[in-house]
Amino acid sequence: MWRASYQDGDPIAKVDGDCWLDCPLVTSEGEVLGKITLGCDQQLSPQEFSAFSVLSAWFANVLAAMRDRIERAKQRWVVEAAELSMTTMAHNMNTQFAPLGLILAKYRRKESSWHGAVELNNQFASVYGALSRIALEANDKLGVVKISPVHFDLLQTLREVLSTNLSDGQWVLTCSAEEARLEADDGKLRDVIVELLYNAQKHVTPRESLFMEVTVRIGDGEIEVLFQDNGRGVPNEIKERIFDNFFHTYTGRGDDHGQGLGLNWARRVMEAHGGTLVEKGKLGNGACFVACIPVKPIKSDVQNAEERYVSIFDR
Amino acid sequence: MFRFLIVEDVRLTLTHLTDLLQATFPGSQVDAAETVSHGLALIQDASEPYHAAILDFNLPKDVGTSPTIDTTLCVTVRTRMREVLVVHITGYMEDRIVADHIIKAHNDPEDIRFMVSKSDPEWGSTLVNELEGNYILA
Repeated sequence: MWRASYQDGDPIAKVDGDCWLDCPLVTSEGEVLGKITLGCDQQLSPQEFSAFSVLSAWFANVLAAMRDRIERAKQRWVVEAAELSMTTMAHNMNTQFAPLGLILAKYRRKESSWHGAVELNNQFASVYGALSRIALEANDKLGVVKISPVHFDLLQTLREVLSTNLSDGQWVLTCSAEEARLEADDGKLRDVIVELLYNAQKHVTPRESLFMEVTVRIGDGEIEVLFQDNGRGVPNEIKERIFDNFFHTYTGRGDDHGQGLGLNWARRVMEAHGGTLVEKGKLGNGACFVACIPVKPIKSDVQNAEERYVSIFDR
Repeated sequence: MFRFLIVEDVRLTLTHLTDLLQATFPGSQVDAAETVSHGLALIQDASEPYHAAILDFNLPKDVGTSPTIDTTLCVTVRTRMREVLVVHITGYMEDRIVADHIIKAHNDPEDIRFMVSKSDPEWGSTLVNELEGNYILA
């Protein structure tokens, strides 16, 4: 006869020859709440005992998979809720700024009759423009990253973005292969490359002296792209912090410094593809950002958890 | 007298845009709507064609509904008023639905329309300059 008990309930008397299974109850944070004990007071044959062992292992795996899945989903919901709140607020700010452009237009039309209006309008436009850029950048960079993969040649994309944003003598692109085809969001990867170039330009004085050496390595199922610049480089103690939102190394808040959102966003784009973005340069030798991206997007953690769940049933 | 249609759900923007058009084009008639349904009703009931329809993209269908990207206003007004100048005002220049609409609905090189980004501080001046220079006074 089978019996079950929770540890705080009436204890089950264990007798030699009985078969027992203890199922631990663990929270998603790893805290052990107790255990459920299943007991059978009949002698089991070796076959029955073997089947029972497999069943108990399967049951434990199912519990673990479900716990992982719930935890990952919970983390994803928290992050997405925060990102959605950020973008909604940024959008609302931008929407409420829009009438300022009409007020400015109204007073632009008075410039011919009052000379002082020109300076006033320009100052107004400058401040309004800065506010608008902040709201736009927050809207673009703090939101949920969703990718729309297409097939394309990453080398071609790199050539186009580099030649558009830098002069001929400011960059070199090397790759052992003729092409680097992959399935990814071409538009977002272009924006990531622009972000890395923009970031490098901010740290080279004058900006025109920037030289970017881009190396593409094609590996087994993934492509690695190194962006090596000729700036000062990134100190070890902030190699990870540079990927935090709102982090920057400037003492002031110049117009061209940005909000410190670009690198975090670039990393999240790479991670949305199942890839990575890290900084591996040596201080004094320039920054070296290394982007690694699978040739096909990797499924999310949730999808992986679901597959693990299925595989347990299939075993 | 010029006849304008504005569909814009942010009332402050709508008010200032109406004032700006009336100041720039004295004596003009401005019909204003805050929802897609109201805008469609104004188009349906218009006794004369509009010279220009200034349309936001992100609009609620009716009062109390959440805004979504709308292209029906543009299609309807262009179907009923062949000569109308459509001016899209949007903060969503990069949105895929917006881009698709521009490619599909405005693919004629002779098509008279333009789009203004509300994120540009000078968008009001751009709007009236385009209205004056490219169409209204031509």
